[in-house]
Amino acid sequence: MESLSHAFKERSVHALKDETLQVALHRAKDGFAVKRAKAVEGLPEFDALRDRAVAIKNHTLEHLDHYLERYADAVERSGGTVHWASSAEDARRIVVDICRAADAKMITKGKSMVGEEVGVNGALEEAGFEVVETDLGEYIIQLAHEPPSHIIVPAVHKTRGQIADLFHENHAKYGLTRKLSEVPEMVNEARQVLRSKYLAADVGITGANFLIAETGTSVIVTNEGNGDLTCSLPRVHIVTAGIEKVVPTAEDASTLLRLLARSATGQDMTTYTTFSTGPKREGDPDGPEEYHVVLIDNGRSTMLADQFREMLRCIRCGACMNHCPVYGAIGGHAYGWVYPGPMGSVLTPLSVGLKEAGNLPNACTLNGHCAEVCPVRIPLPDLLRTLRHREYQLKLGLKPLRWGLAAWVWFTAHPRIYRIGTRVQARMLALLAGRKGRFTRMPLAGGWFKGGRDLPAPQGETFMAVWKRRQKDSAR
Amino acid sequence: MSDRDTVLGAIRRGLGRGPLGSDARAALDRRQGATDSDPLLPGLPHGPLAQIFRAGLEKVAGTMSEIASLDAVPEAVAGYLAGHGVALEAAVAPSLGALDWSAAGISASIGSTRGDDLTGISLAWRGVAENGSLVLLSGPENPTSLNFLPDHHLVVLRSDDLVPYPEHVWSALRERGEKGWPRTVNVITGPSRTADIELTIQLGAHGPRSLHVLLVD
Amino acid sequence: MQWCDERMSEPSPRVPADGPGDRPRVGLFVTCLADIYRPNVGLAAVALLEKAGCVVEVPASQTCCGQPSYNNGDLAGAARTARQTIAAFEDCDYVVVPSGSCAGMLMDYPKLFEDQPRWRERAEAMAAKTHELISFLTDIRGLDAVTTRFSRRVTYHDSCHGLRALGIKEQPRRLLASVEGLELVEMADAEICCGFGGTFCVKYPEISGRMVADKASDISATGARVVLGGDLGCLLNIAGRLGREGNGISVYHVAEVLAGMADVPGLGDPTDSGGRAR
Repeated sequence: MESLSHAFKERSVHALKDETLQVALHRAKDGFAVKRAKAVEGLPEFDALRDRAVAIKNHTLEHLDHYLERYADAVERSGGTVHWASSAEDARRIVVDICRAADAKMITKGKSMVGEEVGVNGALEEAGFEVVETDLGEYIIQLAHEPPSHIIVPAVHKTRGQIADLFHENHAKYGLTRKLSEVPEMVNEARQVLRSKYLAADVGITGANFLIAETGTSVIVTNEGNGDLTCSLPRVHIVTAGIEKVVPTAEDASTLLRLLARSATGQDMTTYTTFSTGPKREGDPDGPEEYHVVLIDNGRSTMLADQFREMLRCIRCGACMNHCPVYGAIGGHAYGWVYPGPMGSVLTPLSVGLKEAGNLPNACTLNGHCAEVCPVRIPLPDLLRTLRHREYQLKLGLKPLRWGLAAWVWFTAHPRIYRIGTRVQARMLALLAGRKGRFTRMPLAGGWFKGGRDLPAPQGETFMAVWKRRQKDSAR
Repeated sequence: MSDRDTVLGAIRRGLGRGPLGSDARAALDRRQGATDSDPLLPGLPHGPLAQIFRAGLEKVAGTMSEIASLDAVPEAVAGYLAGHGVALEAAVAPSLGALDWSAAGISASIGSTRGDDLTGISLAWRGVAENGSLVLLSGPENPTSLNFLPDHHLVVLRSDDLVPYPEHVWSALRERGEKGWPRTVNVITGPSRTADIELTIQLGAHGPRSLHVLLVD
Repeated sequence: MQWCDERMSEPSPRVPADGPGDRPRVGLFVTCLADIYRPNVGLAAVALLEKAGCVVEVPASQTCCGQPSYNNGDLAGAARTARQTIAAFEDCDYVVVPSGSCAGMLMDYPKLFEDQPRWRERAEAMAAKTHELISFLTDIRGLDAVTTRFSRRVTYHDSCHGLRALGIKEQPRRLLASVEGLELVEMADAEICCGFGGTFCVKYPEISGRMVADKASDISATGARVVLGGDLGCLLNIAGRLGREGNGISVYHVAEVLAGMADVPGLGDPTDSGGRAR
């Protein structure tokens, strides 16, 4: 997917002014955090399970080559085919080739973030296939020609009025012309339209929440059942998955599943957890005739080499964005690429480069809420700070900030001069502010006031000066 | 170099080592899961499994009735459908095909569905008490389409097949030996739902609008 | 910052504040913001520490904790500042900081010297003896109550670094509960960031502005006329927003109230002295 992350600043300001978006974000903000907290409270073992989850992911990543080989062998034993994609381009080519070989016309898709990452839809449409997203949220944003703004609820930024308009525009061709206003009737209409697509599709493409090495199984979780219809009705089932999705056994997947839904939506368990192993077996009345897995690297193997290996533990639950106050203020689109919020602010620069996405790791207050809720304990603020360090070393940041920091460091290392400077500053600012006690504007400090706030004035004397005088007085 | 070798090579470069030796790989193969120990199983509420299972199922808007014997299933299904104002017609899994459906007034079509059946009736392989989940295996006797296309999904579960945790299901699947894992294992926890429009929960997104379990003693 | 994802529940050993023979030497790291903006916070910290049986020292060569450099990717610059701080406090039994954010930074110093074993050792010693003021008073000095009076309805903002990196939540509330006349009303989303974030607030003023506006409305909704917190960065941000809104809510550092020294105008409040030194 094309990145718009370089325009983060403008896009975030735009998002703040978008009143419809703000209504939608406000609704999401409380919903998720409260539901997650409740679900976590209901499972006393939650924190111990997080430790297990970290151990599972770390062990698997440490031996990733081994488990992927075991996985691939098992897929092939069950009659499936494994394809290995080093890059996004490889992944697109492989998927298009499979669809061509299957002589497909219509393709249904279950939600796949890695599919978004490598741009599967665009490639398929360019190759002339009809591609229909079946997750309701993905379907809505497909109609709107927008990327997802959240990894779990892709259309969380849309209000029901906007969705009603989209359906009205796009469903007339199916003879559905009534303008809807209530959620149940909208869900029903989408169900009706998509049902015909499922039944007509030649190929179904899903992602994978986990890949099980022991059995060669891909696992997807959905609430709607769209993933199941996508992987069981068409002739061909293609799974697109990042290489980090593999776990050794189904037991390991169960441990992670106990954390996934609780962290994501506050459910104990997602409605449908579906384990697919190979194509349909002899005598099976339904299921696909072909089963393909596309294992996608696309930069992940590089992340294994350093601190960013921790990011590969991510199970894409979205808890970090649900608890991020910056995401809560601007929504997902401002981030400009597939993955928004804290996890996206780590992944995007690693994928599209710091020059393009340097704003993302900086647009964070390091408040740590994301790390607090991450089910696999990814130290997101630390990773963001490491990206800032890289940016600093590459001299990509703002020049005045570099100069300012350099000057400040020099002062901090020269306490006597620092003392004089701070005394003058405290005295001067206090005098300038006068009885009002605060500033409503100030030259060279525009950023502070642009945030819609005044600047309190200092009391007048520095603490160090008061203390020194006090020491002198008491010695006398 | 094959694509497989290219990706595996990149992974090993990232890990800073060459391929693992056969001893190391054998040691990994001997492990039961990544943490190589008993999984950490959350405590369950006290009481019989059926009661815990029912609580989990009802939490996600599923319903359940308890029935004395398999033979009584058609009658119970007829009662459920009549109670919900649904026609006495159903697509029935071959595994339940031998039951006397017509005696209960149900017109049953045995086999898979293409989406024109309002009601689907399946046999679960296991029920998991932890979350009130049903485990269904695909196979000639159990078409997967019945689980998703009908509006009403009725699932027969034998009480002997209730287990506390999904981990019991995985070990039971391992014990099937040669047959191993079928094409599809569906773990179903409640009826289909979505919250994709304004985070409003709506049942029956793409799959069944209602899920009813018939627990057979 | 050491991010712990669960609150630190392990109680630290409590050392009762007994006789003068057992008085620990506490170095006060006052922080650059308190030094310049709010000397009253430093004085309140000294008063509280002395009350808790400590001998307070204020090393004259202390400056800034180095967080501006650290959080903007200039690790070498942060290390330079850190060396200054480490050297200044080496003789103290404890380093106490009236800011969870700066205390967290001091505790992070070892990370800055990963390939300098000598300095790393010194940084680790520093980190091990560093505490945020309020948690030091309660968890280390066993202080359970203060004997001051503040007859106002207040609300409390949990600053993120104190809350999540140091596990400070209940300690300030415990001490505030002992203040005579004080009524604490919890605000909604007390644990949500106020949008300060150091240089974040000037790099992304629009986002920061939205966050602090949300915070201000949560504060107003409590009906409290005073908001307290443990970090001057956040408090300047919040006071700046409340001042702009002009709704007359005052902002104090929690130490000022606990020490009975909130008898001066709050942050950004109009002042009689007009900036002349007190």
